[in-house]
Amino acid sequence: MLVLACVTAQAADGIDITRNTIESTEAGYRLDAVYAFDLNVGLQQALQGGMPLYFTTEIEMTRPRWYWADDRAVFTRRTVRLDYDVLARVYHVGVVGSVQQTFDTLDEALLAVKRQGRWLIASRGDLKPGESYNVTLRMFMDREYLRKPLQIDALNNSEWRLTSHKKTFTYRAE
Amino acid sequence: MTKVLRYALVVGSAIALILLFLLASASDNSSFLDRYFSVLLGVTVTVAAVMLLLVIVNLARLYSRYKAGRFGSRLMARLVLLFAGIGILPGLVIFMVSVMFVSHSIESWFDVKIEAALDSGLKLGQAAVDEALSDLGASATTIATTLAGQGDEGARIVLARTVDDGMQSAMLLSADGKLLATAGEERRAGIGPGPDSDLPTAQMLKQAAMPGGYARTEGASGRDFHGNGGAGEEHNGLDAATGLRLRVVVIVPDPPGVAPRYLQLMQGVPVNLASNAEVLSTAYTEYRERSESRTGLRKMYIGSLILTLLLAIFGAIGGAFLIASNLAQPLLVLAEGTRAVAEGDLSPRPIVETNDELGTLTQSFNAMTGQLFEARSAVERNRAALESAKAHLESVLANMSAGVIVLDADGLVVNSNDAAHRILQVGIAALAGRPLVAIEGLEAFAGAVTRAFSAQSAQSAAGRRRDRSYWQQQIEIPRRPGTEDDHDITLLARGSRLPVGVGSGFIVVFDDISDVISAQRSVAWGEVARRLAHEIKNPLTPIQLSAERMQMKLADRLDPQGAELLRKGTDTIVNQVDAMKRMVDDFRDYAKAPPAVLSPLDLNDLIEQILNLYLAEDDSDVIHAVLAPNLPKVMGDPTQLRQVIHNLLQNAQDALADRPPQDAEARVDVVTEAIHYVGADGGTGTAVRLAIVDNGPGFAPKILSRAFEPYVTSKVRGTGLGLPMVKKIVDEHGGRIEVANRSDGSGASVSILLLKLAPEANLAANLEDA
Repeated sequence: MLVLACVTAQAADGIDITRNTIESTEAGYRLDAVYAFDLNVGLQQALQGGMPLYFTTEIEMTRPRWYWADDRAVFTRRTVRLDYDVLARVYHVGVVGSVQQTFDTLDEALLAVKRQGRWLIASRGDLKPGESYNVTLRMFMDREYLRKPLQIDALNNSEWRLTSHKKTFTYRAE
Repeated sequence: MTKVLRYALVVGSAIALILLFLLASASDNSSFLDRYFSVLLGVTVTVAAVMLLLVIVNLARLYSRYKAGRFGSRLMARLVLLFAGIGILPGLVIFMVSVMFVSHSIESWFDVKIEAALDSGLKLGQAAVDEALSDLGASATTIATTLAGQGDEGARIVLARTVDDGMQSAMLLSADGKLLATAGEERRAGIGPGPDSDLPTAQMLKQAAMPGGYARTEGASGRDFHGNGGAGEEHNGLDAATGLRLRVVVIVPDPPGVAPRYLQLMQGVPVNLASNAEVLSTAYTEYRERSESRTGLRKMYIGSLILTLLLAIFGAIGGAFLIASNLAQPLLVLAEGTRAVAEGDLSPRPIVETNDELGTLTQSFNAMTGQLFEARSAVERNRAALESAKAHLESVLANMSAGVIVLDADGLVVNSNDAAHRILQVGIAALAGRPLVAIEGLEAFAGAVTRAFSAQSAQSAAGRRRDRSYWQQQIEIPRRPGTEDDHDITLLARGSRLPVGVGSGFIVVFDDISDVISAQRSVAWGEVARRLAHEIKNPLTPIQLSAERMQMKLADRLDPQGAELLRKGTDTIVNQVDAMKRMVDDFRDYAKAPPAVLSPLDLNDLIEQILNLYLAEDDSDVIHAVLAPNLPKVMGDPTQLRQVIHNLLQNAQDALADRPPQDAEARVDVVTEAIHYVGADGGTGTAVRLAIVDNGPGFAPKILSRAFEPYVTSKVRGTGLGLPMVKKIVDEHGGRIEVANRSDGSGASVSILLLKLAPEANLAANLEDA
């Protein structure tokens, strides 16, 4: 509990990636990641005013090649939409272009964002077993989906900036 | 400003204009621009930065030129400041006003009242939906109570009746979510997917088991992404439009011991309520969103305005540069032209191709420089003509034999020619700019000249001899003490005043007439000699006869001693009278030389005949003849020429006789040669030269200048008539004679130039030359 508090405190002005593992399944490689962040007051108000927020996860897997530029095996992104139905007073969370879930409270909805289901990032043929890949993982609030004035505002307003550092780790394909 | 910078500015301004237009259009919500807004913004900022760079480069160039005082930079700077000011100031004003306007107007859109109204409206909508939901809950409870204890069939009837009463769908489910009985509109209508999609989830059932049951409003979501996720909401056209329906799940109050069953009722929100609520919530969301983004909006507007202002400013400065350089160009050309004219370059300037006043100005400027050029070249031509005339005059002056000295009004020497220096024997440098009196050796000359001018002035003042504007005077100048020659120079000088208009001064022209004086002296001597000879010769014969008679008569009467004395005395008298007679004969011969009878004569033959008398044809001979072959015949009197050669050879031998024994071997050269010369008429002529050169002591300087004057001799027993005689004969032959000491200082040389050649000889010589 104490550790969690520390993590949330640290994540007050950004997103922390607290877990990141890649699992090899029969369908392909899946990313299992957990993020930690808090919505600041401004964002919460905007959300509860009916403005949808979008969180994009971006993952890149490269294989270092000493003789050439790195081989970019995987580069994919997934955007999760979080919005609030002002009339029904429920939160909806869903990957863009897919089914969405409904939650009664913000915490439940945020938890769904923070702990997204396993994400198929690559099919089996995409990675060569036995090779080591550098994985770069990033999660951020996607401003692309914001309205233009807000994008402008977000350029120099930290309230609208919610992003993780690039998390880099090595994965050995199985 | 270079062409590159200029074009860059123009292109930059054009790009900036386009970008600004796009940026302005981006303020409304077109999706394309929305997407590329950031890119657009970045490009605009980049262009602005580039233009800023260009402007800075231009300004820096201008500044450095201004600092360096480069020509035209001041005008350029003023014009640039002026035009930039004109461009920037209105833009600045508009910018300020726009910023104020934007800041205030955006704030004024968002009002607390509107917000409160929207909030209330939303709450109203929520309340209405809640009301409908609680109504549905109440009827669900009622129906559940009805269903309690009934079997599936009974329940289906109840459910069907419920649906008939206006319910969208009604389901009876077991605790594990299995459908026991159902009734629904869509089933009746036969459209839409199966009821599975409407089945409550386990979570819902779990919640329904709680007191209060499960009651939700559904379907408001999914507006933004139709297609996949929205399948459940699409089964009804109405639902799709409003997207709102109510779902209630309650537990059927069955008697204890029976497996729990759940009743789910679903009902669409009434259409007008649903659509109104939807509109309201949309508006509310929009409002909230805009309220959130107003800062961004203001930033965007102000940012656009600032960018516009910057681009406008840079454009204005760039335009100012363009306009200023365009305006300044002709002026600079003109100014450059005036400077070039001041420096003497009168070449035409490039014409500015405009038909305004500036173009006319450059054209007339070029016309002016053209006229200046004409005038100057005319002046140049005149000057060149004057200079050549002056050079000609100077050349004449320099080469004339008479000496010329020009004095200014104060008596300082202004100018003098070479002849003057030669005659006066002073250096050129010694004369210029100094008064004549101050020049060493010319004191007497200066005094004489001054006196002569004074006398002339006095005469002019006395009003006499107006017809003669010059004086003429013979001036004797003592030789300089340093020179070996101690004879005076006799000058015939003429002086005149320069007209006042030219610059008052004096001009003195003089000739060395020492030779003339010498010739006059010769003539006078000849006359004196002739008379003296006549007068002296007459008494000589009686004297001689008387002396002989005295000896003859008295010799016998005297004692031997007396007779001896007498004989000595009379002998002396007779001898002396004889000598005197010879001398007088010489004088007479000199004075009364017979005129030469000229006939063609071979000079070489003559010389050989004479030399026969002198030569012993052995090594002891001192005379060596070097006779040119093919010497043309001359016109001459053989007798007289023979005397000339005799005289000269005698002189040479006499000179050699006196020489000290330790000197080199005595030698006399007799040389003849033909001389070709260019006559005054331009034709070539031939002359014969006879030179007799010895290596004796040479002429004494005192003798040299007067060698041809009679009775001038260096010999103890000479009459001094030898050379004068020679001179006289040569003159009779129309020849020229020169005596000089050899240039190496040892010996004398006498050279005779015979100009009159025998006509056939001349002809032959000419033929030979041809």
